[in-house]
Amino acid sequence: MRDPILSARHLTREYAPGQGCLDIELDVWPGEVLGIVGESGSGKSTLLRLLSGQERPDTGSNRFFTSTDEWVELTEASESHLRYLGRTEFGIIHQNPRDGLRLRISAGGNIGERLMGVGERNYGDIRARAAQWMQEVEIDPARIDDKPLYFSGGMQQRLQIARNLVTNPRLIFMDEPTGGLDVSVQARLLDTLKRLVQELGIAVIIVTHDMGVARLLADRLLVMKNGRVIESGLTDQVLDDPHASYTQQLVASILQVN
Amino acid sequence: MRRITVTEVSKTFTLHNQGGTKLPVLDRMSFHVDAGECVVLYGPSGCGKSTFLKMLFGNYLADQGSIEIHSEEGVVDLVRAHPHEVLTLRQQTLGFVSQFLRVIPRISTWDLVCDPLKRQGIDPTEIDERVAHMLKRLNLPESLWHLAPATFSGGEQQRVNIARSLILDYPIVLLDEPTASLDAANREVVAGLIADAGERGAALVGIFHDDTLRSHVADRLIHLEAVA
Repeated sequence: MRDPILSARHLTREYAPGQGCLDIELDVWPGEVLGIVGESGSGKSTLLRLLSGQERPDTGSNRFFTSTDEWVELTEASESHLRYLGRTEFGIIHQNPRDGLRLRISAGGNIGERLMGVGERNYGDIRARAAQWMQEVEIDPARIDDKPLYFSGGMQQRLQIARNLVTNPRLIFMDEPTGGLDVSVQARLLDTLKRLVQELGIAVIIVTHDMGVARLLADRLLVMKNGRVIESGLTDQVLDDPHASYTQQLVASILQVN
Repeated sequence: MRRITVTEVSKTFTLHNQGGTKLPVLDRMSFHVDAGECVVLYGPSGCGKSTFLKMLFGNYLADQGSIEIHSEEGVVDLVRAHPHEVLTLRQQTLGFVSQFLRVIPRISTWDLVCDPLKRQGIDPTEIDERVAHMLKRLNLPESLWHLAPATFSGGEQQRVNIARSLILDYPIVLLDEPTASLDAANREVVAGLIADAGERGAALVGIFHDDTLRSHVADRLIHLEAVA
């Protein structure tokens, strides 16, 4: 088996007793989608921020294997190194697209900015790739000069995805990417995400409280409760044969359509 | 050639949210399946046939014992395997025909059936030929090929399911009542597909409620009894 791309050990960040993340151990392999599920307050968003270097842990290690074949200890990396990795190797898709976009610069500018961050300078190339990525996420490229402030929530989320993927990251962090969207818009966005993840072979860590989203996208699942991982395994195994009491409760609460 | 070796496998469901009720389903079960052999699990409903089949696919976990899957890459014990090993087995070695199609909304029949071939990196022209051939053989009208199966009848959905699960020549095929919602003509077609799989050397493990089909395909029956 290949080596993991991200490897966390004993990762802990405790805000108050039992709140935050406690002694987390996980590995993420290239090309896989790892789902993190659990109720609000279970620590899953904290874990995502720790893993992506947006927040420092109290203790523990979190190592990332770069495209230049080096292990970087993210918990000790400098802010500037983390920002560099954020531009080149990571993508972060926020639940609220307003946190991941600049609403007052054009759609093309939002995508182009990431490319300029990795050293692209040719205006024509940047604009062409922005248009191509808008098409890839099913936004009409004719809107390239429009500001995302005037886009619908679903379109903003698509633009955020395009902005993240344009620099070919190897690992994407997603926090409830379909959270604030209508069900029909969610469905289309999930289709797009699934297709892109498969085509590009990128690794994804996705936090969600929606078991349907987890089943559709994730290869493996971690179930969190009170800051700890209480169950993990293949997605269909965890959802169809849950062992922990809490996981059984979580699965039993899914509304069965069909 | 050995394909599956099951040794002393037990399984008990613990229902934590229903007073911790324990439901023992399998107790120290052992058997093996060779290439080209069709083994049928047989017994009253509730005896754990379906549970057992799901354990052979890594969908349910065994509490103890071992389930060894023999493939070209070696032997993997599903009870102790890492999830990635199970995923690799499912892509290359283990085919599963479930009772119902787990409808993936909005994805067309054609794309559903193509998917396992695409993952193997098979040439697109060959994919088109194989998918068209399979859908025709299962009598799915061409008008349905590019529609999502969510609105299809039970029998049509089941045939999409069978097409998707048998489009690759898996060395091991698990069948959970594949013909439950099919008419006589299509049951014949499925019996033919099963026979073909056996002839090319696949090891088959199945549950069949239809007596005629069962006696037609089974080389061996394994009787399961409810564990009290």
